[in-house]
Amino acid sequence: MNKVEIFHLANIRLPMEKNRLLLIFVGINLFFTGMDVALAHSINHFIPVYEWIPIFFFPFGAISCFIISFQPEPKKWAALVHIFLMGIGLLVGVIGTAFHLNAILNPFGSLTWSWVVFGSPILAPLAFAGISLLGLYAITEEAEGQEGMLNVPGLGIFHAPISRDRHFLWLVGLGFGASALTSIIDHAQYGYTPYKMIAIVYGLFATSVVITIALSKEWTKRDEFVYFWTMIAAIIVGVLGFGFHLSADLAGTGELSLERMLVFAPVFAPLLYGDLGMLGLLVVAVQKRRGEVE
Amino acid sequence: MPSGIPKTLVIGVVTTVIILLLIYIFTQLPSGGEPGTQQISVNLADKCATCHKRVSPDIVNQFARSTMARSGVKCVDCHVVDKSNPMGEEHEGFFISVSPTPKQCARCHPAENTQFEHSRHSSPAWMALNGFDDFTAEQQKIINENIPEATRGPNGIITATRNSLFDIEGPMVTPLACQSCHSIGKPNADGSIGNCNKCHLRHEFSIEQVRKPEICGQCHLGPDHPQMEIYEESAHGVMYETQGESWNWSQKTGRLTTADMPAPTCATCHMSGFGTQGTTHDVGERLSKFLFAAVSGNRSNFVQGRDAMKSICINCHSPKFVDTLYTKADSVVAYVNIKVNEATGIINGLIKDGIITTEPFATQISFDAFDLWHYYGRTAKFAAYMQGPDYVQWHGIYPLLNRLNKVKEDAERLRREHSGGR
Repeated sequence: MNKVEIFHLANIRLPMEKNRLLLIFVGINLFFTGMDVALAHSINHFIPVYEWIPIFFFPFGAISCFIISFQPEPKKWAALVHIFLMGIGLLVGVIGTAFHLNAILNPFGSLTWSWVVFGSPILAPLAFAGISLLGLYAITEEAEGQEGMLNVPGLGIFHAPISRDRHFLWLVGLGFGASALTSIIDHAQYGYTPYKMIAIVYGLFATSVVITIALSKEWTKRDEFVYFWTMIAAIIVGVLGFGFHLSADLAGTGELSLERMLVFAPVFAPLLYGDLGMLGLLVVAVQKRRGEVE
Repeated sequence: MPSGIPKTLVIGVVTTVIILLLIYIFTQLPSGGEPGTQQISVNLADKCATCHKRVSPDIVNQFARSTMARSGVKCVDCHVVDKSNPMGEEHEGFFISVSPTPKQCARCHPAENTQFEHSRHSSPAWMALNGFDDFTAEQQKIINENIPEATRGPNGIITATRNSLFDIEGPMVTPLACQSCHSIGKPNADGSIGNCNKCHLRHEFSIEQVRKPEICGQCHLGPDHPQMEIYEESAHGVMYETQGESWNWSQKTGRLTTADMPAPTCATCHMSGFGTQGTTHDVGERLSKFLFAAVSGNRSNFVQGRDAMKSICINCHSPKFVDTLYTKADSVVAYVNIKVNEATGIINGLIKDGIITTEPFATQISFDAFDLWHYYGRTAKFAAYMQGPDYVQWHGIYPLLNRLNKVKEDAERLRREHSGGR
């Protein structure tokens, strides 16, 4: 029943229905992003006090995703609460970006490259906004054959300018874009080396590929082939980056220090590519009809 | 596999190349000039800054440049204290402490304060002068828990006594002499211990500043602990002097690597998060011997301390090099211990035989025996680990031997005089 096809290139069996899996995916992402933010903000003991905002938000957002994912037909109250929480998540991301941007203005109020590189990560809070938008779209349903007619449980039907799938593609594309930019900024701290360029070059390429697909009215099987393998490569690049970051944190000593893991090479950050790769495959996965499955 | 070149691949490759070129061009652009030439535009228009811009503009400008100002910390956050605080006073409608103590700093930096309380920069620094009496019962409890190696009586109570030289010199001298440095561990009336401001100079609290050796050199210099001079002689110090301008002093805490600082300063080895070591404000955490003492024994954290320091060294040196250095330096310490014990034995013999009294610094030979370990023994030991050969040799062991010879000759003379010249 949960067999899906990815661009005629792969047939896989999902453990559950695609939308429910998307919600769980969003829930897990909110949880880990929240934990990551908690660790990052704990470095300066949550000062200023508004550094607590994302910490208070993420458990509710994650729980809401898990609750909805276990309801075959989301209850109206649950859907409304979920939409409200995802809206808050979006707001947290945008406000967080403003706070981070303000924090990296140097003492003279201007923006300089070194403060962008070494200051608060400007794009990091946008992860909350992106994941929350994903959580928002994940509970919508698109009327069969009517692209952009999105049924939002508890609120009614809305006409979006693009189809639901293209919304997802845009989110994946922008996710790759933000990751590539972050990679450019973070890796500038110690200078670019060939293996650091992997993340940058790959991130820019993946962004271009996904956004090209999202913008195209139609695409060929060859484009699908490129997209598919770009997503597979994302998973490989993510795991490779995890290894590189872990190696940097070990500092050639075979010992890990918490401080180093927190502020030197964030070990889990490269896995974001793997995360986006899996999401990129999931959003284009088409549920097979019974006849096709048999 | 499908044939032909798909548009996703073409667009993907072309876009990637164009963006990479743009990034390259952007990173080659000249920077916006030195910050010092720009006008300070940090908003400090609060009540304190309004007045202090007129009466003490420097502190306002310093704070405007600080990381704390950027994080939204205001003057009142550190200076305003509870009405019950004995260090507080009324000031323009606020109840403030003119000199915030670690109690205020610990509100935002609790871990740093706790580490400091465990260090010899804290209460032991003050106890070295004033003994244990200045501390309240609550502070004594903290010291008992935090300083396991402090000298104790049979009942386990710390028995630190006032330094005799401190009493001999007296209050006409000591406030501007030994107290200036040792007040880093002075007990405060609000119950806290120490003064963060000793190293984190107000009001900029610059991380670049505390990473430079001159901060430590405020106190760690001179004949009794010439770490600053030894550092200047060492290869580390020479690299700092000749290349330090290009180092990345503002790197975030915990992110420091040899790429930022190709040679260490005092802070790098003793305090910074570096290699596998996390940042610490316990300056003794990576030490393994009590080099300041007349006869140097192992610290209670000898194994952990030595491993921790070695793990810093191996960021640049091979483990073999580090082990060899420690072996050689330990040998210098053992040599100094033998010579100091020899001198102490001579002095104790004179006291036992009633030739000199136990009163400290009553005779020239007491001064000589003190200089022997307090100046030259310490200097040789510090320099051995910090790689300052001239301070091991000509400022350390040589004058130590010279002073030991003098102590021996003077002891013989005193004995002759005591026995009526027979």
